[in-house]
Amino acid sequence: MAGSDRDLRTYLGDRYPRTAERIPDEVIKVAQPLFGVWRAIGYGRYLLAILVMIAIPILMKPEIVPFLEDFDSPIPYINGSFGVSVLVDTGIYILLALGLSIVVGMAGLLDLGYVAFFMIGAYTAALMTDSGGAEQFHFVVWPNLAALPFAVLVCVLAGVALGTPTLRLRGDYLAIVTLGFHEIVRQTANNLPQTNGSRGIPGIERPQLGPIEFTVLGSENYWFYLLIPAIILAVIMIRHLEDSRIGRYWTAIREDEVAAAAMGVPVVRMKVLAFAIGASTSGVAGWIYAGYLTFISPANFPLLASILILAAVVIGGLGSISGAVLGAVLVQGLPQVVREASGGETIFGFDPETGRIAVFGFLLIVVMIFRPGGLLAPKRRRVELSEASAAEGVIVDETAQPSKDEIEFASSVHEAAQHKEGS
Amino acid sequence: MDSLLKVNNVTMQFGGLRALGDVNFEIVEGEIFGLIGPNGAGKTTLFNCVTGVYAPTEGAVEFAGAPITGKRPDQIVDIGICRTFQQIRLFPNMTALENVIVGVDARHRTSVFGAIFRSPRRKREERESEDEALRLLDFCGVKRYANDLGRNLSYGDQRRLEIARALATKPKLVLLDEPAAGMNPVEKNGLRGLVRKIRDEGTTVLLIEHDMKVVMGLSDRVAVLDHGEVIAEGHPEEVQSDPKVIEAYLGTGGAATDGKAGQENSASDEPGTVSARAREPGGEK
Amino acid sequence: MECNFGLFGPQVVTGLILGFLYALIALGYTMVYGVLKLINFAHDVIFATGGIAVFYAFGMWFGITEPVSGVELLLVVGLSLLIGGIASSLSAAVLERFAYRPLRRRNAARLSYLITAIGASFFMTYMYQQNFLLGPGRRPFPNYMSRQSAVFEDLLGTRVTDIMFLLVITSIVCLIVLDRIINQTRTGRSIRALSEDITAAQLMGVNVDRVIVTTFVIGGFFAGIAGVLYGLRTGSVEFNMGFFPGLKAFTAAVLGGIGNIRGAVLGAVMLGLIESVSSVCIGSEWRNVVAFSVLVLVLVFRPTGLLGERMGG
Ligand SMILES: Nc1ncnc2c1ncn2[C@@H]1O[C@H](COP(=O)(O)OP(=O)(O)O)[C@@H](O)[C@H]1O
Ligand SMILES: [Mg+2]
Repeated sequence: MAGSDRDLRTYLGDRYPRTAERIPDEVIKVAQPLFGVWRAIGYGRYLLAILVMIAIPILMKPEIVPFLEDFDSPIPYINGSFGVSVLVDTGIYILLALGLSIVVGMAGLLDLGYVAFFMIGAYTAALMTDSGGAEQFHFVVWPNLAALPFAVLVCVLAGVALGTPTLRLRGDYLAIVTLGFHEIVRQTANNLPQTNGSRGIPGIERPQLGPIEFTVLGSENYWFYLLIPAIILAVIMIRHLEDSRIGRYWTAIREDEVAAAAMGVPVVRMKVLAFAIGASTSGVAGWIYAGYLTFISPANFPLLASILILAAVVIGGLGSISGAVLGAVLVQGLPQVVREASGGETIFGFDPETGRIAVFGFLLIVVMIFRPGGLLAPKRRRVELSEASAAEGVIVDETAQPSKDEIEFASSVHEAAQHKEGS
Repeated sequence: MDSLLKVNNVTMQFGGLRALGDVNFEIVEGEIFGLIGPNGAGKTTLFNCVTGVYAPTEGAVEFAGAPITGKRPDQIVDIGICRTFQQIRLFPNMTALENVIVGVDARHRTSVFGAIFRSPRRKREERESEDEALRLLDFCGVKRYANDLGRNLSYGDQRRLEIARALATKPKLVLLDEPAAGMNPVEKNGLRGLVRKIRDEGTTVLLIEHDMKVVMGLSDRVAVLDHGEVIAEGHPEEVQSDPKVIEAYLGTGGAATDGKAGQENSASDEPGTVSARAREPGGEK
Repeated sequence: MECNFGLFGPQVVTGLILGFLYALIALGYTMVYGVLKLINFAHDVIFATGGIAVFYAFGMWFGITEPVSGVELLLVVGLSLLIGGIASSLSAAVLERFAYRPLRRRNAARLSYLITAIGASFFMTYMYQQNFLLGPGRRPFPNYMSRQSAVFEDLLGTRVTDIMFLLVITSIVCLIVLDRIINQTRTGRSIRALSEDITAAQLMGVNVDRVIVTTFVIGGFFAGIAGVLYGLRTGSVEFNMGFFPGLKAFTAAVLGGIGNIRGAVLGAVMLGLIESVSSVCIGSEWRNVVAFSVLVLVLVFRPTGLLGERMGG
C-alpha cells in the first residue's frame, strides 16, 4: 500500500503506537533515510541477511581478522561452544515459536501438543539418514540434506491427519486432544522397535554443506547458519500469509467463526491449513535438531517443551512475529544463560532448569490478566483477547432478544391490521 | 421468470420443538420476497436451513435448479447465496474495509502458494479487492467509515456494513435477516432505498422483516410464517387482508384481548398481547 | 501379548477401582465445565495437592507413618481424607479467585482462560518440583494402612486389599453425597441454575461469584480425596502425579458428556475398564495410547459424549 517513502514514525505507530510516540524526532530524522533504503531493497534485504550470515564464518577467521584470535562476545556467557549451543537452541525455539504462532496466534487454535510435530520431523530425518542403533529400520539411507523436504512433508501430512478429524471440535476440546496426540506420538516412539524404543536413535549423520568451514564464536558450527535462513524464510512466509486472503480468513475465523463461514470461508479447511503450515516449520526444526544432536530419543520431546513454546508465543505476543522471536529468547535463551551464570546453583531456591517452567507458568497467568496480548501484541490481538466478542462470550451469553423489537413488531402489526380495516 | 430458490417441504425439529413444519415456497429471479411472521415463527431458522447452518430434518432446498441441502455454509456462498444476521455478526476488530474484503475474497482464487510466493494473481486480486470493497462501502453508504473498526460503527451503519459484506461475495440471492431492526424511521427509509438498489443491480432479495410498513412497501411478494408454517403467500395486499394472517398477528390470546387491546397497543406503543406470543429468543447459531 | 481370558476377572476389578478414582477427579472437571463452560486444565494439580498435603501433614508434622488399626485407623483415614480435601478445595478456591475471576470480570476470550489454566497447572506442578517443596523424585506416602490385609481374599480371582476397598467405598459415598448436594440443596439448585443459563440465574438473584467458588471448592474437595487415595494406593507422591490421572479423568468426563455428573461417573468406570483390559490384551505400555485414542474417537464421533452435556440428574 505505502511506497518506500513512507514515514518511519507512521510505520512504527501502526505497530507499536505508544513506543513510537516516545522516540525523539532526531532519531527519526537520522533513521528515516536508512528506513527508505531498507524498504527500497524489498526482498533484497532477506538475501542480504543470508549473504551476511554466510560471509561471517568465511571472513571471521583469525587468519583474516587477526584480533579475532582472542575475541570474546560482548554478551557474557555467549561464547565458545556453550554460546553456540545457546544460539542454536534458541534458534530452534524461534522456529518452533513461529510455527506455533501461526496455529495459536493467527488461526486462534490452542495446540498443546505442538512438539509432537517437532518430534515427527526429527524422527523422519533420523530414520532416513545414516544413523546407528542396535536395530536399524531405516526406510532409506539418504544424505542428510535430502531428508529435509521429507521431514517437512511428513510433518505437514501429520498436521493434516490430526487436524482433519479434530478441528471440527470446540476450542477447548482441541487443546486436550492435541495434548493426547503428543502423548500418543511419544509413547508410540517409545514402544516401537522400529524407532529403537526409549533408547532412541544414535549416530545421526550431519549434513555436508560443501567446502566452507562454518565457525561462529570461535567454534565450528553450521547449525547456526542453517537456522538463520530457515528463520528468515519462515518469517517471510508468515508475513505473506498474514497479508493475503488466507491471513484475513484466519482473522475472520478467530473473530467470529459462524460469520466467517457465512461469508464463504471454508472454516475447517482453513484450520487444517494452519495446522499443516504450522507443522512445516517444526519439520525443519526437527530435521536441524536431529542433525545437531546426532542422537534423539522420546525423552528429548517432553510435553514441557510444548508448554514452553506456547509460553514463548503467548508472552511474546499472540500473532506477532517479533513477539514469537522475543518469547523464544526469553523462554529458551535467557534461562540457559542464567543457569550458566548461576553455576548450577539454585536461584532463590529455584532449580534453573525446572524452575523456569514454574516462572513461565506464573507469567502466563500474569500476562493473561494484565496484558492479554503479550509483550508485543499487534493492536487487533490486544483488543480481541482483552474482551471476547459476543459470539464467544464465556460467561455472558448474549442471546437476549431486544424487547424493543417486540414492541415495534406489535405496533407495526396493529397498524397494518388497522390500516387494512380502515380501507 | 425462472424460480431461483425453491424450498420444498422443509421441516426443522429441535428436540421436541418443531421450528419449521413442511415449509414450501419459491422465489423468482429479480424479485424482493418478504418473509414475515411473529417472533419465534421460525424465520431465522429457515435462513439457517437455506444457508447451511442447519441441515433441515426433512425436505430439500433447491437453488437455480440444483439441490443445496446438506452443503456447508461456505459452499452455499460459492453457489451464490449470502446472508446477514439478525444479531449483527461483523468481525468486530477488523476495519469496515477489511470486513468487506473478507467477503470479496470468497470470489478470489489465490492459493496458499500464491500467497506465500506473492503470485501475480495475488497482486491483482489484492488490488481488485480493495477497489471492489470501497465501491460496495460507497454503495451501502458507509464509505466514510472504511478505516474504522466494525465494532465502533453505529448500529444502523453496522447493519449496512453487514449488507455490504454479504454483497461482496457477489450473491445471486441475498438473505437479509431483519435489516431494519433497531433503526430509526429515517434510517429505515434509507434502508428501503438500499434494498431496491440491490435488486435493481440484479440481485434477488429475500427479506425477513418485523416492520410491516417496510415489507409491504418494498416486497413484490410475501410469505407469512407462523408456528413454523406458511399460513399465507402472495402479493402484499392480498396477504394483508387474509384473516389467518390478522389472527396470527393479533395473537391467539383469545377474543377478549384482540380488537380494542390492539388499538390501544398501537396507540401507546406498548407491548400487549402480541409480545406474549413471542416464544423463546431465537437461538441463532 | 495374547488376550488371556483367565485374567479377565482381576482386570475387571482393577478397572473398576481405577474407574472410581477417575470418577472422583472427573467430577471437578465436569462441574466447573457445567457452570463456566471452561475446562479447568489446572484440576490435575488440585488433585495432586490433596495427596501432597497429607504427605506433609502426616509424614512431616504428625509423624503418622506406621500402619495403625481399629478405631484409630478409621480416625486416621478420616483425618487424612479431610486434610487432602480441604487442601485441594483451598487451592481450587485460590485459583478461581486470583486467576479466573479477573478474566471473568472483563469477559475475556476463551483462549485467555485456557492459557491461564495451563499456566496455573504448570506453575503449581513445578513449584512442587522445587527442592524447597517436594523435589524432583517420588516421595513415600505415609504408610498408615497396611496394604497387606485383605478384605476379600478372592473376588473374581483378585485379592482385594483394604486400600482397594477403602477406595471404592469412599468413592461411592462421595458420589452419593454429591448427588444429594446437587439435587437437593439450595447450593445445588444454584449450581444447576448457573449451568443452565448464567444470565438468567443472575437475574433471579443468584450470587454468581459465590456459586462459582463453591463449585470449585466442591470439585476440589473430591479431587483432594482422590489425591489421598491415589497416594495410598501407589504408596508415593510426586510433583507431577496429577498429570496422567488428570488427563484420564478429563477423558472420562468427555466420554460421559462433559458437564453431566452422572455421565462423568459412567465415563470414568468405562475408561478404567478399557484401560485395564487393554493393558492385558495389548500390553500395559500401550494403555495411555489406547486411552487417548478413545478420547479422540469419542470426540470425533460423539462430541457431546454418551449422556450429553446437561448437568441435572
Ligand atoms: N438451535 C436451536 N435449538 C433449539 N431451538 C431453536 C434453535 N434455533 C431456533 N430455535 C427455536 O425455534 C423457534 C424459531 O426461532 P427463530 O427461527 O429464531 O424465529 P424468528 O426468527 O422467526 O423470530 C424458536 O422457538 C426458537 O426458540
Ligand atoms: Mg429471527
